[in-house]
Amino acid sequence: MNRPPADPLPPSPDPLAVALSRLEPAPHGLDREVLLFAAGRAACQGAVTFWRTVAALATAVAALLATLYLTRPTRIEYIDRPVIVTPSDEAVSPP
Amino acid sequence: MGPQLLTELLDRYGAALVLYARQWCDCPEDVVQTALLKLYRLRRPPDNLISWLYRVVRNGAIDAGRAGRRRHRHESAAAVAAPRWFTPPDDPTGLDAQAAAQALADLPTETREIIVMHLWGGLTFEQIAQTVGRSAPTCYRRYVTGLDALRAKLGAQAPGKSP
Repeated sequence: MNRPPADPLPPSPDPLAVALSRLEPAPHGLDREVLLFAAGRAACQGAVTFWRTVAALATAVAALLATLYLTRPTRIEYIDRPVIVTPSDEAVSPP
Repeated sequence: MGPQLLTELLDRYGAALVLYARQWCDCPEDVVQTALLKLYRLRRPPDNLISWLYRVVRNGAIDAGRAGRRRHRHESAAAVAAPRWFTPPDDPTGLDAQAAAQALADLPTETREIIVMHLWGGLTFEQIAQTVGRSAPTCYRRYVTGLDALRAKLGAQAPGKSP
């Protein structure tokens, strides 16, 4: 059974394989600065998403509380206030 | 993973990865950039980084190729007809880059990708097997078959035979 060699090129490599591997692949057209910028943006994307979510949640809670406050039902409360009557007020008798 | 490793990967494997992605699509740079960014976003780098990178590039290039063919069939056909995969060698006695690219382009995709990964990516047959989801002996057999087909197309001597 043919066993694949462990190394990229076998000990006695095929001359055609050697000649082919000497051909340089055409240079990649990737811009290093663009890649690093995109990587930086991708790295902070998680934090941006987190803070956007937090801000949206805080806004929603604030809006909910404001709505509850403005639409709360009006309630009439009856409060018993003790009235202190002084004796001088009672002493007034009709003529 | 830091930006230093990202640029190292780009310098070391960028051209080979673009060549590999070019087997399926006409926007290989975008596919490779997306794969590198996907790697950068991982919290923990994969165990076999190079195999992982080639697998992601492969999947991305196949998807991009399908989308591209839907958009413009005639343009992709023209690109395959005249591949510019290699820079012309400095040594004029070396292999003709254009003829080699054309011979490679005529190979079946599953054979060609193994040859590209092995010769220009430097991947072992174990790594290639992980990438394409086949066994290493199968990959090796395809590699040998592909080399024989290239030899016939390019008119090269078989190994061990004197001219």
